[in-house]
Amino acid sequence: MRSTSTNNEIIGELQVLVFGPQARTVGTDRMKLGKTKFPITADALMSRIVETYPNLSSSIGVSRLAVNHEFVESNSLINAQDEVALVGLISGG
Amino acid sequence: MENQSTDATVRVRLSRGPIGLANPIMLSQSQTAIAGAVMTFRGCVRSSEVDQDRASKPILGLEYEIYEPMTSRELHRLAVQFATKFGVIAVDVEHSFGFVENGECSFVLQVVTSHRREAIAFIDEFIDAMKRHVPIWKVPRWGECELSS
Repeated sequence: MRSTSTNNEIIGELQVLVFGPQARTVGTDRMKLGKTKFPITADALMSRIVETYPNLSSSIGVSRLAVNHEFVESNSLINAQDEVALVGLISGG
Repeated sequence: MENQSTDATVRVRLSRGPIGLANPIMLSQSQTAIAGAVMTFRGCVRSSEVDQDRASKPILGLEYEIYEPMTSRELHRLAVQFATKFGVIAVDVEHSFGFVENGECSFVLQVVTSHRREAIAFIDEFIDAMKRHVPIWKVPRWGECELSS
């Protein structure tokens, strides 16, 4: 992630891993969200994902974020060095 | 991934491609003495899937994607959670990643309990939870298999 720091605020590109049908929808397995202000809440990040990738709007409601391989709550803070994945439309078995 | 920290023996594996006949769970002598129900569930790929227009279409198979190590961790977490709930003696979970042709199996769940009701309930609740929480995705590979003469 490339980032710049001003005072305590870090601004940079955040990459969000995406899988399965959602990856096919956006045409990549790594979504790129430029000029992200860190830390960002999971809820705010979800909104940014839909703004940047509107094709995900129909499935974002059944999606959750995983940060460093753990599901997070909507008010959890995400930092610049975190590994973030969108987990939606899962269907094991 | 193996765990002996709970009363149950819990084993989780991810395998590339279809899963053949699973090896039976190995039990200790003391586990065998109380094992009254040994159940195996096999999840297999059907020959059709519903597309975005909710129409049923033929498929060649399913491409399974996983997100390691989260996939293994979540499978293990759920196995321990439901093993504790139902007093399971041993559980073995195996799931595919990569391509699995229709007719082949992509998921095998083996469970050992003292009585059948707990084993049946474990299988039912574990699979429901897996479909809600474990990062495993399937993507249909559309098409019809050619019939061999």
